[in-house]
Amino acid sequence: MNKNTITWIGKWTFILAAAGSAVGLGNIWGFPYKAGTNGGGAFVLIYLGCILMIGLPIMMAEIIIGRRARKSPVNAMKNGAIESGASPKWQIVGWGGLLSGILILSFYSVLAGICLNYIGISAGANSAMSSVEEFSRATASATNLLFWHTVFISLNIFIIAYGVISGIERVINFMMPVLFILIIIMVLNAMINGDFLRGLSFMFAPDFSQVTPATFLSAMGQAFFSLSLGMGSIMCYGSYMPDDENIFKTSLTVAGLDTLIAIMAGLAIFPIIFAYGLDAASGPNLVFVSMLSAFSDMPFGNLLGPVFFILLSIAALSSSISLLEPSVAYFDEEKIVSRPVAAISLGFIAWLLGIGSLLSFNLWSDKTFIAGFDFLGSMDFITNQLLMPLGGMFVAIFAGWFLSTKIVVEELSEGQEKVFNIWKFFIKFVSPVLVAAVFINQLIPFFQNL
Amino acid sequence: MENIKKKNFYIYLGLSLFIFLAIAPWILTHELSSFLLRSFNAYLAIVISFIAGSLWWRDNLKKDIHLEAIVISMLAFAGVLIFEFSQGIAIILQIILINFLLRFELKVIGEDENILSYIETRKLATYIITILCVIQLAYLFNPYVN
Repeated sequence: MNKNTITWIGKWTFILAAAGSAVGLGNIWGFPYKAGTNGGGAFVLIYLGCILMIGLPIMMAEIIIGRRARKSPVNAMKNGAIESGASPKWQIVGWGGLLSGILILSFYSVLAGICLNYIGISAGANSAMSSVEEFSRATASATNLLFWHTVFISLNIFIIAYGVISGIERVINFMMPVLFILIIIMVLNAMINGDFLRGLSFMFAPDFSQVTPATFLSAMGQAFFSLSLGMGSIMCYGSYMPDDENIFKTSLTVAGLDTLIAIMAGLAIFPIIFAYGLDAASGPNLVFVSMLSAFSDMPFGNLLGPVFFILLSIAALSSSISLLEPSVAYFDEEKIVSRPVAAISLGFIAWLLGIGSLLSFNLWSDKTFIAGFDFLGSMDFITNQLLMPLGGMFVAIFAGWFLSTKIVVEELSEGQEKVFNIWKFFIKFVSPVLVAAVFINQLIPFFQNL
Repeated sequence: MENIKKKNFYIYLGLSLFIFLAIAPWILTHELSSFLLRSFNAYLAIVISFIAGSLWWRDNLKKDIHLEAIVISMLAFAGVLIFEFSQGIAIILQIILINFLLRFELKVIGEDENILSYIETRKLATYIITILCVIQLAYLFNPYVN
């Protein structure tokens, strides 16, 4: 089994690809709301601290392991373990990542499909039908959801099948600048049409009286989940990173871009929500109900609405390709099947599982599967509450306690002794404990409901 | 090379004041905001005139290019006066001028490889200032700030 020789061509590709993977629907409808309801600027400060203590060390660890092996997460973990004299069974962490990726893609594609559908819906939206009715109409038909789910999965398969350079790199280099331009347009729109001052104050005015231990846990969770860690995506993209790129600086840039886009998304959304007196709730309701309602009343709303949903769709697509790529890369490097066949087969599995998630909106809406959740909720529970935190925690434990110092020093650029020492401390003692805290905190409600 | 680095540093330094003047009106009181908007416009006029003016001194300038540089400087300061009558038009004028100045400067200095990093920084600065000007326009038209 040879190391792959593929590396990103563009200097910025890894940063854009990793930021694209990190910036997804969760950032856009999750981070701004959490910031606003957890002390505004105080939350943002705590969040930045958590990025430095959890996100950055684990991201660096994933890149180090991936780039060292230049293989998919399963073989990268195995390679790192063998080279460090540890058990090759550490590859289980890589398998967990592949599984997470496929499971997340299955339901993420359904939500992203709704975003695609909303491009057209928002272009024709008017006050005659309320946004709640629009949302019900869009999700009531399983056939409609299936169509858009199929379109979205097909886009993923198409991009991945084309390969790392001709597919992923080319698409990322086009999509990410477009995403930045669209988000700037939406922020400017919020500045002109929205209650921007209230939006700024909601997100940034520090209110330390609202800071509780739960705020720290919420910030830690956001810092971890927001960076696409624990599911092999960053490790896989890291395996394509050129040798001369500085891992520390690159990781810092990715984390910074991810935070910047999440903040800009908040600045694009909340001023509009406040100006039109709408519900600022988190999650799909915020964008599919509240924002649609605002666009139908706004000047040029039929033009700005589609721009907003194209932005969401691009964010979703840049994330979803990073969910499918690790497993396709594994099948490809093990020569089990060719890349296009792997992309089609694995994409088909995600598509099939996604049918369960899309039925959760209509025919299976009253059916419960795991821990009282519907099918989509159960998939979310398995991945976000179990597999991803476990994956992140074990990557941190492996990198901190088992990965040989020689590998890390060689992968970090020269003259980075200070960075190495700080990273080593955090990855060994801080990151695993904090991810474990997030993991346990997420499971408490589950056990309380038993 | 050292000279280019120094030049780029001054561009970023100057840019930071633009960023402050563009963002501060959203945060500070409305009374202070109108002063900051005026300051932004005046500062931009000074910067445009300075850059256009620095191009006058080049020995190899043709007469018509000389004239273009003077017109840019004059229009930039006209923008300060226009601001007193119509803030929106003044800012739109400055957006056009700052972008025209970039094209003009590149035409004069040429896209020499030795100053590639300076050209990149200049382009970036122009795009950022354009966005900041649009942010100023947004402030003027936002119904919730007054």
